[in-house]
Amino acid sequence: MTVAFADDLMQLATKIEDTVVWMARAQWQMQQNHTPSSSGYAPDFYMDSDLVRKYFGITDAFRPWSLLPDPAAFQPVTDSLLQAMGMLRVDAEFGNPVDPSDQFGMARQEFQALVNTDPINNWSGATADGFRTKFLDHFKANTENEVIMIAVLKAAAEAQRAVWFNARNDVTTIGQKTLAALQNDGCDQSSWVMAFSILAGIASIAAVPLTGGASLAGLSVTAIGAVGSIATNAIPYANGTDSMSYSGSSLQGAITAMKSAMAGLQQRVESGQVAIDLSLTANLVFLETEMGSLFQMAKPTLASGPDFTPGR
Amino acid sequence: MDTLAERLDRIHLRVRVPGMEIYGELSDRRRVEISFGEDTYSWLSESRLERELAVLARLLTAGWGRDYHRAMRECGLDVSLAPDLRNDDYEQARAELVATGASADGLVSISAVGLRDFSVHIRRDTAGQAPEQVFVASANEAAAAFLADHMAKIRELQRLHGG
Repeated sequence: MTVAFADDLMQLATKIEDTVVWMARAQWQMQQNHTPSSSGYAPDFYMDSDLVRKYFGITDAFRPWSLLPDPAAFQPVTDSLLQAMGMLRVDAEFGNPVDPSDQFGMARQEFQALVNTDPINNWSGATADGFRTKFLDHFKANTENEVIMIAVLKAAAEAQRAVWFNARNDVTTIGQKTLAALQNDGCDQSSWVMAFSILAGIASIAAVPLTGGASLAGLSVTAIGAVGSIATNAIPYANGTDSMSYSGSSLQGAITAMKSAMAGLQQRVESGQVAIDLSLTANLVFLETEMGSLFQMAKPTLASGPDFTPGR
Repeated sequence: MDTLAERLDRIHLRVRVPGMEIYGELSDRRRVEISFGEDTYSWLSESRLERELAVLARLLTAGWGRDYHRAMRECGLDVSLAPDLRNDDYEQARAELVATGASADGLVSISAVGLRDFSVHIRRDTAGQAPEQVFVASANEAAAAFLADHMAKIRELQRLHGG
């Protein structure tokens, strides 16, 4: 896949460069045969294809983009995170709150089997009650919190994949529109709107701030993509369309427009990375503060009396 | 996806002056070929021919505009520009652009302002009307010269007005 993308993009770049070389030469020749009023129209190096290539640097501008990571490489990562989520799932009712469409397998039967066994149900007394309320009841919430943690990591990986996927699409679109602008052999100005897909593409998956939720008596983390949260605000253009207009009817104009669109794309790739980073960092801070309540269980009181220390 | 160049190459127009057997074709972006139905050319006076060919030019221009804009849109270029994108100086200059073209023998000449207001001039010859074949060849040549002049001036305007 990577090879195909890189090849396709460089092929497009070459096509643009060849068009520019051809146009530059045609303009120079026209100037030679034509009116003196258009002097300065085509500089002399326009007749030299090597110099034209060097001056406009089109394939050079595209080359770094052809090295964009392959989004498909994220598949094993998300697959294994999904698998880990499945291994921790103890309740069939529980889905991934970050991405409810996730299918991560059947709930594990062991926990339900433990809860419903006769020895546990028939066990009575303070120790038994402690075991049930302080351990069994919390066990489910704790594993669910772990699943949510993995889901957050998975969302980050998916957001990163979306960045590369959309960057590939966007840079290809820039190339196609530039070629069209150059080939615009009519009287109209070449103008084009570039709708950048990067930030819109990650808005829903990167903005997953964790907050203490209300479920399970405040013990479970709830992951929500709350509007107005830090992470959403960190993503510019997350809401609405992120588009810029470019115009350039002349040779110079079209290539200048192409390069500023590329600069715009680069800026968005960087903002995308920052947004993912901020989202993860914010979640990490929350987790560190809430670690005790989210993942740890109070030790059950096994017996009353000062002599008895659990664990001995 | 086809490139804009390929789409423009494929534009092929056939138009007809309403109510008359005068036809015009546009292909390869700039090639214009006119033709007359049987017994049409010889019955038309020069001044009538001039008027009808100007109509033909307008029809071809309109058809080109329609297909050209469709091709632009299909390749992601904007056709109706928002005010902040539109270069009004360029649009103004383009509207006032005068282009001319004549056949090498001087029989037919064409001029237009901003690709509108076409006027076609046919040189009156004391020896009578030119044979149809000669006239058609001259008219096609004049059309090609006109388009070349118009486009060269357009390119110059685009350069002058930047972008």
